Amino acid sequence: MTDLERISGGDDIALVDLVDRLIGGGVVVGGDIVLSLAGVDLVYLGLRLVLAPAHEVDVAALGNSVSRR
Amino acid sequence: MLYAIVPSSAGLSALRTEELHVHDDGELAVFFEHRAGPPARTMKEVLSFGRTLQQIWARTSLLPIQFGTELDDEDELAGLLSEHRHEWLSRLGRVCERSELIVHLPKATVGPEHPPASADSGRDYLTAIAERVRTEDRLVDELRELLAPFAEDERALPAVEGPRRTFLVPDRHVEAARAAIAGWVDRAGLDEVRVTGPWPPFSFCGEVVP
Repeated sequence: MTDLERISGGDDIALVDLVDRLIGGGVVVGGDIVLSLAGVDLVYLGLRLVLAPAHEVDVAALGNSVSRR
Repeated sequence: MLYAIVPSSAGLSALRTEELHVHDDGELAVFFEHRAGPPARTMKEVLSFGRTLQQIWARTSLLPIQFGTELDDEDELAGLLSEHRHEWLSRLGRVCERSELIVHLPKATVGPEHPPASADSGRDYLTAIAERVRTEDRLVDELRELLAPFAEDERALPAVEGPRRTFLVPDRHVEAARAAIAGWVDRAGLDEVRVTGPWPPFSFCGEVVP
């Protein structure tokens, strides 16, 4: 295993980063924002991702609140 | 539901599908999807959104839009584009041919993890906490210096275990930046450092537009 492979081999942590950035990053524009991102607990999210198949994890249950404009 | 803001170009038509549409006003274009209601708040939906973004990003620079953003109709989208054209063109220019690399640094393990049972040891506890913060700050400083030749911008992200920093890196420097981190990890014996990416520039276009 090369150095690069060793430091980039954490699939779980890559998944956490991707999901975190999809719901916590990007341009925020006017309109209806379905998910409010305040309070997302990444440690909890990471653990839930490890413990449950991704398609079974309900984002709302991870601490997000729903808000409509 | 909105996906991404991209520069107008002839190549966009290849990305259109039955579900994925493009509103193109000649300078800027926005990928969107007609939906009867908001997306389900499930990981499956979030990851599906991510896959579509990655497909768009493989073809063109983009400003990703936060998951779950909806507008009433295409007229509202046209108005939004018109209102924010200058700002979004400028931001696209800054992230064009650049990617985001996220670096997870180890949590410093200096001192006790929990508060002491008695007040007598409170000073030691606070001293240990301060040392932990200094240790983590030192790592962040080393990382920042290491990536200075490659990165154009940097943000702190909420910690997962230890500190987490994200860097905006020109695509041509991504491999060199990763190699520099790998060398640092070896020299310093920092086995717990993790790097993810390259990602679309999620963290470098997130200003709130009222």
